[in-house]
Amino acid sequence: MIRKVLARLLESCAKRLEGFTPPEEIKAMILKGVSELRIPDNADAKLQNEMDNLKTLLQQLGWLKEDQTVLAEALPLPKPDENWRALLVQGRIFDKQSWQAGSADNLICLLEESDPLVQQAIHRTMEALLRHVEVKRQKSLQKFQPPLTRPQQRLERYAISILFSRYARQKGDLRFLNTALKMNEWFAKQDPRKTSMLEKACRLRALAEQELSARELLA
Amino acid sequence: MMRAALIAPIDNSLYARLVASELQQQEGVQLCGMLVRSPWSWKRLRGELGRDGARLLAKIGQKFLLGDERFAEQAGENLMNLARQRGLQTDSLRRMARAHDIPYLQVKDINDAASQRFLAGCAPQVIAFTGGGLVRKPILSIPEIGVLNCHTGMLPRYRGMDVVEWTAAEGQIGSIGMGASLHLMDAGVDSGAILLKRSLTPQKGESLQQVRARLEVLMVNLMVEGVCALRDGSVQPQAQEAKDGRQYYVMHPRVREFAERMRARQVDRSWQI
Repeated sequence: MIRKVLARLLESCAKRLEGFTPPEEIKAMILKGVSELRIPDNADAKLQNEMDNLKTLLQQLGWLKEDQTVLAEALPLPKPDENWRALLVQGRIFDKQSWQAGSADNLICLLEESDPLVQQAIHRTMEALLRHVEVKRQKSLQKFQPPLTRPQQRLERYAISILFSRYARQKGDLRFLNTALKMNEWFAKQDPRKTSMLEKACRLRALAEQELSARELLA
Repeated sequence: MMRAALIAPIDNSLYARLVASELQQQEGVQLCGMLVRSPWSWKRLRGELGRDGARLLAKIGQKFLLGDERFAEQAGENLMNLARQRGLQTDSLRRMARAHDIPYLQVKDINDAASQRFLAGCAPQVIAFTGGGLVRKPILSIPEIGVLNCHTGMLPRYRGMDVVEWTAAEGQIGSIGMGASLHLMDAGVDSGAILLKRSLTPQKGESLQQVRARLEVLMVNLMVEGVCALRDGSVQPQAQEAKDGRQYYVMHPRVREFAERMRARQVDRSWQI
């Protein structure tokens, strides 16, 4: 009898702990976060671009209010240089558990590229990265080349989460959305409360990308 | 005579007890040793907590506290019903080993030196793996034929974790199907040569958890069938190509909900037709 009661108790604890933030709460969290972001007029181009990206996403999600408009299209990501492309094809973007900093944006940029060699290299890199994040979980993505500061590491992790969500949409591969959902939860618990405006915007964009993919793939 | 050893995740594992008992009754098969992982290890707890997260609490409640009683409220085909049908007497591998004079060892780590010595001493031709964590190369290389694992998914397409749920989520119940695959273990995840596969048809209104319960029954039969087929030389391992499948990981609860909805869509639609 006592064992049954204990087992039930553990089961309900597990259910409570395993529960996830419902999509409506995530939506409310994103909209609140966006409304609280006060972008100064002299904001640097990176932050401004991040905000434009975020608003474009909110528009795609149909979450912008009527009086809110996307003022500017986000600038396209700069094309990766030849050295980086060579590293990608050689399978050295993610090597010995060390991630080449800045590669997430470069990979996003190349997702539409038709070169089969590049596509094969992206596929290999994405599978290796997925395995690493799933196996190491909260301890994943700790090593970067060149080494990054803590805030830069957080920005790179958001970029990887965005990459996973985009790749999931592009390939219709739920595994990558599954990992993005987990990453966004793990790192939200780890990240400090007080962060820069840019970090906040990136985090909100990672969540919005996740929701756009969820809308497409989990409908 | 085929010499078979057993690796089990815990002494009271019903799956392991059924496999051991069935193997014991097969003509021309000798159960030559049982290696059982102890639940009392921080390393194990940490590893499983990392992999399962909060789900580990439910697992402890179900498997450790309730044991066989967990099947009492489950309707339909499951391991407990199979145990009743087959007249399984014992609730412990240790007692079964003692009763049949089978060498038995309980260890904290199935890959440690004591485990290697024990299994090497048993000189098995085949090892039936029924759980207990990752199996490293030194153990994999002990049996003449190999270490057998029964995976709850259709290989080579679905490797890794939660593949019952992933098959449903990807809308593949009708095409790839749900089932179990018996394969030889190698250094990869469910990537070794395939020996046998069996599928089952999900019933209307049957949850994925209920499908899993039926798959566990299938796994016992498949493991025993595999050992016997190897004894008779009637099965040839078929190598897997990595490109023929994907590796899957623990499913996020939000995707899990979607998987259950997808199961209902696929199964109920096919039953309407």
